[in-house]
Amino acid sequence: MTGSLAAFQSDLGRALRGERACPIDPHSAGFRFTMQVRHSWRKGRAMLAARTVLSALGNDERQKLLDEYVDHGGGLEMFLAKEAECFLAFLKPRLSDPSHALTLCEMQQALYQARLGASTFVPQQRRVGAGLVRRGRHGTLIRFHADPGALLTALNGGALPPVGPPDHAVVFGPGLPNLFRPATDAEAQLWASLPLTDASPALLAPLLAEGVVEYSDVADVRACTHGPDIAR
Amino acid sequence: MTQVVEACANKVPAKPEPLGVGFGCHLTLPDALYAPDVLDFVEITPEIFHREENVGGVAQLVPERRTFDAARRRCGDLPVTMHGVSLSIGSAHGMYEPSLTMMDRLRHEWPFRWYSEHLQFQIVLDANGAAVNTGTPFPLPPTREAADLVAVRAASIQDRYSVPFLLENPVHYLPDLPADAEVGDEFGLMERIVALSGCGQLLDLHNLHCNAINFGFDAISALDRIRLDRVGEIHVAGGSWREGFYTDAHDGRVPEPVWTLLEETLARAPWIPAVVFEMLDEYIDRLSPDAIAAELEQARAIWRRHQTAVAIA
Repeated sequence: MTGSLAAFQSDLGRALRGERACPIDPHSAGFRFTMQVRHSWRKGRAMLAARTVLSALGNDERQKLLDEYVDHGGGLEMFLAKEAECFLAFLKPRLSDPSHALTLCEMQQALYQARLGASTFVPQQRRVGAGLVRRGRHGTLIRFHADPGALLTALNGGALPPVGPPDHAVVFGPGLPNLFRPATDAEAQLWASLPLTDASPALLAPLLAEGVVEYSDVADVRACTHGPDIAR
Repeated sequence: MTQVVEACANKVPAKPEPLGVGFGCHLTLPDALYAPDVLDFVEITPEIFHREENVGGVAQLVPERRTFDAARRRCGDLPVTMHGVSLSIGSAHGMYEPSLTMMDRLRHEWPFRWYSEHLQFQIVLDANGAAVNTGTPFPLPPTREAADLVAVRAASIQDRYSVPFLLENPVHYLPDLPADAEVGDEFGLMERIVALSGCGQLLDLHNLHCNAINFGFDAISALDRIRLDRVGEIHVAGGSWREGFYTDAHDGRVPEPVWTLLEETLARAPWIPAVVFEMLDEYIDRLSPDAIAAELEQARAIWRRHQTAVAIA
């Protein structure tokens, strides 16, 4: 072999990105098939990463979005959690608003964030009412356009319920046993008005304990700071 | 370089103790499959239960606690081996370091009998010198440089964890990889690495079967070119045809020619300590738990028959 291994790998990497001639015959059946496998792997990873959202879409739209994501450089993350983070960020602005798919996309993002915070979450030990309260770094409230249970059940092959008014609120937080629970109307109203300094202690206390909301003077250091390039 | 590798090779751990037949850790399958009457050990792909995080500017693999703990509960008292997928041991610019630090932690947190990885690369440098994923693993060209690079790394990994380190022969579809005449092909590459490093081989018989079909060689004859005395584990799996190529899809039952290869390999090397039936998580629904148990039982029957022959001898 002439040339170094580093040069071979670097050239191959650039050829995969269409930047220079390929060090392997790009017209050989084996290379062309390898490229098909690569495309399929990348789509497959994205599919696995966002299975719930994608199952709320028709097949044509699903395939179109997956191909678009791969064409934009997606499907190259080594780890599924990062792939999910990138793909969901890519999908969100491309989904109809309102739609069940968009709500499910937000739900998956919320679950990801709550899960991310769960391993290090410690409820703030402070007298309720002592400062400005904001949305938690790992907490979210999502308003579903149908009963969430019925929606998730329908994803297994049934007809999706109609997209109704966003009356079904669910909170997500790292301190919740299952990372989510139904929200009350009062909690939904509180969430919409954050940040604020005065709220009913009885209303705030559980949300603080669950990491759904937090005091705003908490250091804003996220455990995972890398973001999806393609979503920017 | 050769002297360095040979020095490391002197610290080769003892050959692995026989383990029997194993299977991956699939959390959606029933607990009943993970019992000593069905399998002897569990092969963990640790990356499945970890996520990559940026901790203080450094990429790290941290456990996804819920699934990681569930995997530990699932395995119970069964022995485990680790089969990594992210190391990219053949990347010229360097290995994926978070894999190694993950294994450093696992060594204490969840002790394993041995550690295996794939003889391939999936990370390269882009024009700006940044590491990028190739999207699918690529085989190493069979050259002296590639063999020497991997041998040094394999020896240091084996030394680092004090357990056997095994490299798996890859499946690929590229017919014209650049090669050095003295190394020749995939078999020459693996032989040189194993000889220089003192590491072992994970002989994936389905990969061998795929390459034999796609490149037109005889898999049984190819066993003559493999250092069976250094094989620490065998993989069997199922695959499927696509676009005129037979692929290593891990999507179903083990095809008959691969069972034949297993019989032949164990007849020649009955001391090989372990056989693993591989399936990918995304295809796990294609076989019922009973069908998976049947594949494991078939592997177990073959492995035990040859172990018994050794014991009698």
